[in-house]
Amino acid sequence: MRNVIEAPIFAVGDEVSSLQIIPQARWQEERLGDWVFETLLPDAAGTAGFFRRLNRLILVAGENFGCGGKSNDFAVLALKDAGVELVIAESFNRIFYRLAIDLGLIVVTCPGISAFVQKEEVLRYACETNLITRASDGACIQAEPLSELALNILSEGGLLEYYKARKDVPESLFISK
Amino acid sequence: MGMTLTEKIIARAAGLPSAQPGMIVAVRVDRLMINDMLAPAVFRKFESLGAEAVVHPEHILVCLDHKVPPDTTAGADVCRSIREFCRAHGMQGFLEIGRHGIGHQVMCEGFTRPGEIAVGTDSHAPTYGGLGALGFGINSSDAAVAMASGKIWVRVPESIRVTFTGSLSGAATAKDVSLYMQNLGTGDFFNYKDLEISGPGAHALSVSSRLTIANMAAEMDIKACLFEPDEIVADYMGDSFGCDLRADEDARYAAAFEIDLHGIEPLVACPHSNKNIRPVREVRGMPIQQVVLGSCTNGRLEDLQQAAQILKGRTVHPNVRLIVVPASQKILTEATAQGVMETILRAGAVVLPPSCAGCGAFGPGKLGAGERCVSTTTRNFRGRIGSIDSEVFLSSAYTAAASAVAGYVEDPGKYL
Repeated sequence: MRNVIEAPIFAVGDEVSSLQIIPQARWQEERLGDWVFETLLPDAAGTAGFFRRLNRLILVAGENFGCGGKSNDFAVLALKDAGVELVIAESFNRIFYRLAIDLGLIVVTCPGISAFVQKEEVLRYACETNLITRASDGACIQAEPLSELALNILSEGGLLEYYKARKDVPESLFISK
Repeated sequence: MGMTLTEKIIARAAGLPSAQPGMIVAVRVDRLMINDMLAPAVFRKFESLGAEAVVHPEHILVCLDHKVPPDTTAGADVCRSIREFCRAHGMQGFLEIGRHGIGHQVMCEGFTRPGEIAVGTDSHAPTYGGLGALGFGINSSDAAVAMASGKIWVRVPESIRVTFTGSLSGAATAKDVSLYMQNLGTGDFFNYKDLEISGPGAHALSVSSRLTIANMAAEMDIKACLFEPDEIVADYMGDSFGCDLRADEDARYAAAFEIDLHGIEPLVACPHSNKNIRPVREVRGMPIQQVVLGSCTNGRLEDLQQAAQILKGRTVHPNVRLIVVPASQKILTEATAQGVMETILRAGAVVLPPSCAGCGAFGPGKLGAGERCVSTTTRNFRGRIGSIDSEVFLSSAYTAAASAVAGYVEDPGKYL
């Protein structure tokens, strides 16, 4: 897992559901990443690779990102396949959050992030300090730290990789937020 | 420091003296439900771990419930591979079609016990909390690791105490309570928290009613929803093991709510949100074309009996199709023996095999453009049950049956 990620972002709003991240009709596609946000972005409908060609490593989202209650991997795998390495959101739906950690997609909670960014913006996320910095003017916002558990799983690349490497289930007995 | 029910169950399952919100622990998995949607991914991931054998196969139920029986050759091949995997790994908890049910329902038909960590590969696993188990949804990676190790990681959530007082009156049911609860908090207030429900009103509810409430709580984005177990659960289980589980007097809760069940009336969640709650009497009169009675929320014997109470001697409206989906073969068999299914059939309903059909995302029972449905299921977002130009009202079994007879959204009080 990279300690610092600096890249242009793509921003979406509140209550973006797993089915808006990747529609059910596309679950069987070879390249899931080709259909990210197909039903969310007006120009994406029927256009393979629309979001992926924007080449944004960082996705910024509002409240309850990944809502809708879907327990399968498709939304997370689609984002990863589209090149997204980091999602920063006001808040995450808990089913999506767990999927992301288990599948090795870095998810960082940062209340205030929606107001902090403009549509096209370069942000820098530093894992050690949990600081998110705007490249345009150097302004910073503090994100919530990743738990020790999340760091352990993400550093291995996902839960299955962690289990194969360590032959055990991770835990973190610190009282983290 | 005292512990909540949630903290006690997690501490015990983690082998720790105590557990507090924010800790992330590795807990023993007591029950695991894997359904046909995620089974292929779970089994593929399990094989990739190189584990020697499945740990505690006797704790695992494998449930074909989303596409039953399969309606494509590909679906049939998936079922075949699921059967083969279960046979090869000694997983006798595979339930063949005809002896099956919706996974969340069969988990609660004598399998899951109070005080257990019970997980399922589906968002409505909180249903198990009706029995006082800590039930929550997991993904296929977690399920694969659980099969290989018998454990999963879990972050201890904060607990919220909910006290029920009084009792349901008139045509009000547990489903109406659960609809009322959808607006107990705003925004993501309940995100990742556990509800712990107790109080005289809760202890007077049947297990079926508790399962309904725990099930719909999933739509509030809670992690789990536990009812304090008691003699009613002991009676249901056939023994009292685990039924004396209680939170400590000095347990710390993040918030507390009290709900007087007597004040609950028949409610509906109007299009297109589970939070768009209105009394039925305020929205009655909207013509409908379909009614769905069933699902893990309201597909139990008590729900079928409620519908039959209204349907007896009456017929489904000429413009309406009433689709009934009992939650398990056991329920369907018992309802048949009691004459409940005859009443439902004579009224002009169609009965589907126990499955997730009718709830929306999978299976038959879709709505066309411009159609409106009253459904006892859990979700009514735009397009859930078919056309994005269709509308879904979520309701109780009583309200669904009343609406099926009237041909429009109707107050069940008119028929009771």
